[in-house]
Amino acid sequence: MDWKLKPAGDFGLSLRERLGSLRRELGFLGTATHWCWREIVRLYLRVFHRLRVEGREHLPEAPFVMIANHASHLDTLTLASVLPLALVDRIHPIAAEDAFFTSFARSAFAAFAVNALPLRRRATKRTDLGTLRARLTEEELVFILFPEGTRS
Amino acid sequence: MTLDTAWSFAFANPVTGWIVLGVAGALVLAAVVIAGLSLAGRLAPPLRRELWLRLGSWCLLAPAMILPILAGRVWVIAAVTLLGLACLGEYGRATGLFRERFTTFMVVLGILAVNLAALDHWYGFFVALMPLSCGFIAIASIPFDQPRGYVQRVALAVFAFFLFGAALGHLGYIANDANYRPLILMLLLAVGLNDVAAYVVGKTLGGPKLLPGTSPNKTLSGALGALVITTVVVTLLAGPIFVGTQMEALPLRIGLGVIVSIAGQFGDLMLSSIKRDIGIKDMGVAIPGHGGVLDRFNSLLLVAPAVFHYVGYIVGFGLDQPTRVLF
Repeated sequence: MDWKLKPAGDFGLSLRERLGSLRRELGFLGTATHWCWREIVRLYLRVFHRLRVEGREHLPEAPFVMIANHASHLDTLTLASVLPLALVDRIHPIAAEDAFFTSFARSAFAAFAVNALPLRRRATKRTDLGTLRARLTEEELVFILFPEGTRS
Repeated sequence: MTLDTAWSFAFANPVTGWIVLGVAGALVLAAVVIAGLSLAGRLAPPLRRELWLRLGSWCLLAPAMILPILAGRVWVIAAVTLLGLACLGEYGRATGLFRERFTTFMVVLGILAVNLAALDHWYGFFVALMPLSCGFIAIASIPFDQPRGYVQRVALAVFAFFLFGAALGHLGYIANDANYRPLILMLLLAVGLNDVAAYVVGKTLGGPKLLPGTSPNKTLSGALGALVITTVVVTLLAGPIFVGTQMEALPLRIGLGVIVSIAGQFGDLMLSSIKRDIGIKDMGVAIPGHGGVLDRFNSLLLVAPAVFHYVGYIVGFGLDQPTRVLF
């Protein structure tokens, strides 16, 4: 990728605005907290659930959108934690804004631990999808998406 | 040390007390003036809000800057470390350097190491860290085998380390001198005054622009006015600070004032150049009414090493203090 003198997508926003922004990019500290959270989840899954991953070799090169059914909140954490480490700061679960971005504490957790991007259910603007699509391809991201929109 | 002796120790030099009282007085006076103008209905609501916001920020910033200086050298160096890291954070997000995680990590390590050397009062290591850190920054991303953008990311990172580690670190190193309090307070005051003087004189006298491509609002008259005012203030305050030393000589004190003013103005213009190149107005939103941390402290970045080596050449820093105090 060519180098560009380009500020962070959420540059100039306050912390509160950054948390709920679709253009959020984790900085140095954010990446560190996200990475720690990922390692905690991996350890938990290995110890308590003896998680086994099959078919990892079928993953395409980033960018890609990972689609899954949604049985529990563990789905997001599991999928995000088993994707290759090289993608660690490029994986964004797409999360319901009305569930995960309602308070400052929730938003901070969703942003700095899970690295989730918020989507307004039933009120998504066309520009929101455009932003997500542009970021996906330009920044070679990975989105984890649950099309059911809620847990099945 | 009892509170009484600690107090008299911190305020041993009269300039320390003058500056602390002066700043407190200026804040109270500003509050009275703004309140008076507001009550008289002379301020439009947006301007009134802006002025209170700026004053409120100063009421937090001033103690955050003054208290570590009064508290002791460890606090000064800790504050300088945090300031350097905060500046790096803003610079990284503005330039895009933050996407280069490992290279950024090397800059963080460099900033921590420089301040550790200052804390240890180990000048040899403090100086050695400039080539060493730049070397580590240069090799950090090589093992990833991605040469595209190599020059840009190394150049940005070395520039960041120079500004927020090597240059700013001198401010903390000054605290190794027994008489550091009045000097650092004067530098902070003079650098702030330099900005205000340039603005006020420029607005009052007008005239040709200084460097319109870099900073459209700065005028030549403002730059010269700031040079005169800052030099006079520094020359006057440096007398009692350096009493009984070679630096007491008038020409040397005038030289100090000129260095503070010119280095301060170039620090400001340097940040303007960075912002113009990227196409942004402020470096962040950390300080309401001011912009980012870098927007507030840009002038200090070049002043710290310039003053350190000027004063260091003439009278030295901390020569009577123990060295290698940590290891």
